[in-house]
Amino acid sequence: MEKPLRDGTSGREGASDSERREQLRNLVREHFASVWRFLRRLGFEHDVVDDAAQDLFFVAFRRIDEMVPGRERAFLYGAAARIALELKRKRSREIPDESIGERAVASTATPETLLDEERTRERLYRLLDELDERFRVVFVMYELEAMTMQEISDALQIPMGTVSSRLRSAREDFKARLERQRARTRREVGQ
Amino acid sequence: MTTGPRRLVHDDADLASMLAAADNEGPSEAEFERALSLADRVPLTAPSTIWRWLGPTLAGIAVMGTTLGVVVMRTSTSANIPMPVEAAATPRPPSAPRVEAAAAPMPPAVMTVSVDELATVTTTRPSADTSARRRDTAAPKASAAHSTFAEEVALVAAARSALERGDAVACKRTVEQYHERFRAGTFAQELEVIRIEALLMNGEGSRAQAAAERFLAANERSPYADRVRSLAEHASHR
Repeated sequence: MEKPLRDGTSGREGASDSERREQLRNLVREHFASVWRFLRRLGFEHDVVDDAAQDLFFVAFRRIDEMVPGRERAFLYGAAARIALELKRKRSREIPDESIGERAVASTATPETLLDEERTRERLYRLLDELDERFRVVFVMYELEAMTMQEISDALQIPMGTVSSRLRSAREDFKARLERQRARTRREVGQ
Repeated sequence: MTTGPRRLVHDDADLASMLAAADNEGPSEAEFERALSLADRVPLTAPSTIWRWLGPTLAGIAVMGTTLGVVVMRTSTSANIPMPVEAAATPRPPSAPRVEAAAAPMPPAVMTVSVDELATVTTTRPSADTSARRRDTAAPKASAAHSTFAEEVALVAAARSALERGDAVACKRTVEQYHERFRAGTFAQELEVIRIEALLMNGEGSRAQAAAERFLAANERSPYADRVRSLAEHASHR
């Protein structure tokens, strides 16, 4: 693995243009789909995720020389987390609380009308939507994206202690909400 | 204590099935190809002239097309959210632009990009995507606004590219095109900085200095203010 040079660059600079193009394409091949899914898990609909992912990679392409090989995921996920936070912050100033949230499930859709897999996904997304945003990001990164605590710390540029405490809170909250959701389902089924 | 707790999915089959369902979702083939196409089209800049847009109080722009319409985010907060540049133990302070030597023929463009600022990069939307997975329908208004913003971004990119390859004339022409097309454009400040640099490059020091002074008078607290002061100082030496 290349080590960052003293000037903070990663040593890619000597590559020819065609090699650098291939580096950009590899970034897409290796990370586009997972970054896309990560943005979905942070609470956005397909169209928003489509645009956000393209924007994110555009910026990443311009910063490719600064990425340390092997640490691209931390770079990309950190950027995605910030995008999500800022977008939600903006929306919270513009959209009344009573309006639909980021996840615009079709107004007529009910869990029963969705396909099984979609319904299962929606369960997860609704649970995630209920978490505090700071905890949600860490929870998604650790539990769903299987990132290590160190990777999360690097990506979000927060101390390990903060990662740990947020994860702990997120896990407790998520488990409680999951249990409540199951209890509701049991009651409904039992009716 | 760095390894972390055992992941919940290992102990909860229900959660594991939810994660599996979520893993089965992904970008459409069209979106993937669009990103690959972008990789082939984005300008490759030499590292020494990479533009990094300033962080803290950047009038950064992130436009996200949404089903509710285009949301234009002009972040003017003082919250500095730097890009995770690398996994070095200490992230580079994003708010400290490098001070350029006065002896340099042209102060290199150095503005640290804030991840708050994201530009929609495609100038054309993909044609009808027949292979798409489940998609939400987008309002036509959102699409129109999105493509307008895409035009803006394309012009900014073109102006910047012209500047970087030393074509001051093309750069100024593109800036003029932008202002004609988008009188109250979201990238007005950025384009003005580019124009000042182009004037300097073209040997028009007095015009560059005047433009810089006007910019600073109108945008005293702009994240580009330091950069423009540097340009003005450089222009005064010509």
